[in-house]
Amino acid sequence: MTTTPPATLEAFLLIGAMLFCLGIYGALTRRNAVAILISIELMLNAANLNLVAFARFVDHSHISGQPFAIFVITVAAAEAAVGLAIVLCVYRNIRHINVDQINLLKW
Amino acid sequence: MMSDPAQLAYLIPLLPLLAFVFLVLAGSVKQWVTGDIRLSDHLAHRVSIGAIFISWLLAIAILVDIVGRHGQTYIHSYPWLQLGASGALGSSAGGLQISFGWMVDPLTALMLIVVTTVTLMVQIFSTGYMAGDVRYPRFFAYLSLFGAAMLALVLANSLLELFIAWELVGLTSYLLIGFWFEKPTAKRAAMKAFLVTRIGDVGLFFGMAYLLSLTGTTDFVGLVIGNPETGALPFRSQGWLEAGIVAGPQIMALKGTVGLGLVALLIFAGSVGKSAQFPLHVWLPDAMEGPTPVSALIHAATMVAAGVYLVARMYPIFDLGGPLTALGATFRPLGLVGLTGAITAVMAAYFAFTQFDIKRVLAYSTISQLGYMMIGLGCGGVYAGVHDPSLGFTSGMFHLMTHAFFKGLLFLGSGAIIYACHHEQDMRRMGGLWKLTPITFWCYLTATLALAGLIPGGLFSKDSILEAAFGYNKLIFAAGVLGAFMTAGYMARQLVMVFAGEYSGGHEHGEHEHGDDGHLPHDPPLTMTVPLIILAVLAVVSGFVGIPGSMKIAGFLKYHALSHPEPAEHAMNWTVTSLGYGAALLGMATGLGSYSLQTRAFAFQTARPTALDWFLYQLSYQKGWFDEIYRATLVRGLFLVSDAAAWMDRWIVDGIVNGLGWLTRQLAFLSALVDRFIVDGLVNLVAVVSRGLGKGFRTVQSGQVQTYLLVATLGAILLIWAVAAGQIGAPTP
Amino acid sequence: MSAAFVILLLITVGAAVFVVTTKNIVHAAVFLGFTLLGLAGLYLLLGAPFVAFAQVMVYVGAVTVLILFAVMLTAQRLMREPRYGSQWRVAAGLAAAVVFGCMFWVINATSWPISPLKQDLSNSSEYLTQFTSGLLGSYLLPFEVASLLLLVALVGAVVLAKEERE
Repeated sequence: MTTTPPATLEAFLLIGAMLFCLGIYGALTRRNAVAILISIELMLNAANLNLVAFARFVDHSHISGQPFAIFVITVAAAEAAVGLAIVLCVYRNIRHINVDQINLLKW
Repeated sequence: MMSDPAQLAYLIPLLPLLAFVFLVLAGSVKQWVTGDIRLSDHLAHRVSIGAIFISWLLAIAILVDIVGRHGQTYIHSYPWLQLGASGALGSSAGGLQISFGWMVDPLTALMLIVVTTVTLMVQIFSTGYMAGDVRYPRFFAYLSLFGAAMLALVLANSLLELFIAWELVGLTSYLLIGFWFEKPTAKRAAMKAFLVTRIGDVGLFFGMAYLLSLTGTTDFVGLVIGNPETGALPFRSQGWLEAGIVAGPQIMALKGTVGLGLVALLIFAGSVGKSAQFPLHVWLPDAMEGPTPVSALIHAATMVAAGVYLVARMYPIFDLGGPLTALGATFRPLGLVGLTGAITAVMAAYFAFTQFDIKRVLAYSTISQLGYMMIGLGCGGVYAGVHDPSLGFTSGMFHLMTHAFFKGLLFLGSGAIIYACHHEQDMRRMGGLWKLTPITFWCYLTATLALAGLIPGGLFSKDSILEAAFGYNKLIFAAGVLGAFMTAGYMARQLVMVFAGEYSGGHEHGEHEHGDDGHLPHDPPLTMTVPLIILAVLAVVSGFVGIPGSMKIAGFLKYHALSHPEPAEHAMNWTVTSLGYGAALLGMATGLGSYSLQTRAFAFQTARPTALDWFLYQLSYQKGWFDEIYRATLVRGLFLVSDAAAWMDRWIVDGIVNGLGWLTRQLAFLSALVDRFIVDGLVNLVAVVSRGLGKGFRTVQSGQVQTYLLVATLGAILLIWAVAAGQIGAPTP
Repeated sequence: MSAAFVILLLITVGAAVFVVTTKNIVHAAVFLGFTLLGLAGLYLLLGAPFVAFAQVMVYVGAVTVLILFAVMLTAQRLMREPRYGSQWRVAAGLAAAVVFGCMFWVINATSWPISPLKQDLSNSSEYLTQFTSGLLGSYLLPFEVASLLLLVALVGAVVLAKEERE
């Protein structure tokens, strides 16, 4: 006998979509570099949710997506660490981290 | 060598030429060796006189030799250019034959003697007359060059060669007339001589060219030298030929044609210029600006005689040339020659009466005597209707010889007088010289009597001319007689003014450079008097070859008229002789009687001259206003043409050239515009467009990370849509 | 649609909205923590307890703290950041909305091949066996690489964040 899921797959996917789009909005809108990194974390988590949801609903073994999610978490953590280290470097040089004023690659 | 001196005839002009070259170059060599460019005067005259002396000896040898050969001709020629038909001498029209070399015939031999003798005398005289002149060596260099040219002219074996020498003679005449080029009058006189004779030379050139086109050659042998009996070509073409002055086959073929007559007329134009005949006589009196030896040599004895020689050399052409018609009158070429001579003889004698410069009188006398020679030549020929066609020819050349001697003597004598009177040339300031300069006086007197035709020198030659004229045309004869009267008259006047009475000159000359016994003139040194004496002897003696009745010279200088019966033995015509002699005596008496021997003034001076008197005097004194007329018409016309040509050159020719330059500049300007705006514009356009595009596109690179992110988002949207749109609806596996 | 799901949904999405809209960076970091917690709960609902634990421990525990550290180390005088102009925010919002729209369409339009879960093993020890056999079985290589990655990231972060010496 099958267990009943808490919600449809579409619902979970929609949550993931919302989180992802919120993450996009945040990455585009925030001035602070750390805030942008926060938004990126949000996006990554949205992807994680998708993975786990698909593991629960679509995957035959019902398990494959979860290790994948573990790896995502791992990588996200590492990336957050390095990214924040870079932000610290930037802050040390120019005393602020407003990305709209960091445009050395401008033409 | 002595057996055939004609073979060495080329040395005769060559030696003086070498003397000239030496004198011209030796200065440079000397400068190179010693540092001083001036040649010594002694060296100069020794080289020059040495050369002409040897030439003189050779000329004597040739004369002696040729007299013994009885009318042969020596020819030595190298064919230079032969085109067209077969190489036989003078053959067929359409071909062309030009050769170079020399020719000796009796006419040539006579001229050689005359030229070398007078040149030698003049050069010896010049050592005294020109002593101390700054450019003494140059004078002798020019004299040598002239001698070389004149002798080459006489030895020429073709009209072309003669023409070359003719031009060279004209050049040396110019150089010598303008020898004292510090005097502006001398410069002008030299230019005038050259230009006026040039006019004649143009005629000669065209005549020569026309002859060449008619016959294909200008060589004398075949045209005017040929077999005396038949006129045919000589059997041999080199060496001694049995040939004399006669019409050759081609001339016979052209007998009576207008073409041949035109040739003769054009050639005569050259003679008119060179021998100062009317109307080209105007240069000779002005040529007296040159030193007196030059006047003696060139303008009395030799160069001016070249014109007479030319007519004599071309005699067959003149004789056989067809009658020409102009201004309604028809005349034969020889007839024109005679007429010109007659006009000239009388006209020049008329002008001689009133001149005060001793040399001017002699100059007009020369012009007049040259006219006599032309009279002589003109009154001969086959178609003159005379008894002896060769008489005119012989008499003209005979008079040329005697004239060379006594006119040369007269000029050298005048040079001695001028020298003695401290370079005074106005006869009014002379006088009394018959006892002050006796040697000069006696020589001068001899020459004067010869010129007047009273002593055998000029008597026989003038008589033969009058005889020839008498047989041809009584009018010309009358002119000759009149001329004889006038000649004696003006020479008598000159004798009185120069020699009679008391010396009236030298008052205004204070101390003099001669520095000897005060101011009175005396005979010049031996270097000058000895030539005078020699020439005086020659003037008399040379006449004896032509004693009427047994004219030896007639057998020597003969024109062979074909198809004319051999004339009978020549007998003296007492009518002619007495009329001529009488006229001369009368003239001399009139002249001597018209001037007081004490005061040297004109004895018949009227207190109140009439208008006619005044006109007649001015007509003579102003020399017929020839110079004034020529200046007003020809010279002005020439300057007008020259101005027009200069205007055309400056405005039209230069205008065109400048216009083209201006046009090129404008085109260059347009081209520069094209280059700057179009070509550069295109290039710059590319750059501008690139920059604009770059400027536009680089704004993409804003440096704003979030902008990039936004664009990436949009890209992602597109990607999702692209991928998903195809997948939606597909059955799930 | 169970009640737990709805509550967790509200927490997660609501906190996420706060994260991206608040001007205060510290608030953003804190609300991120709430979002992550909410997500952990959702993982539990989806039968992935291990992932939920990892989420809480790593993300909420370490990453959030890390972010807070970074915030404090890059403190500006003003903790509130001035916003961008409204034009930009509208554009960004529009872009995000369009993305959401696309995803929405795709999610609903696709007929997902559901494979029903026969047995919920998330509460039993079977789960762990299954999980680790996957993790250390099929995904052994990514596992090892991930550990290497962590090492590299560690060293890199230390080097980057080091104080400059003279």
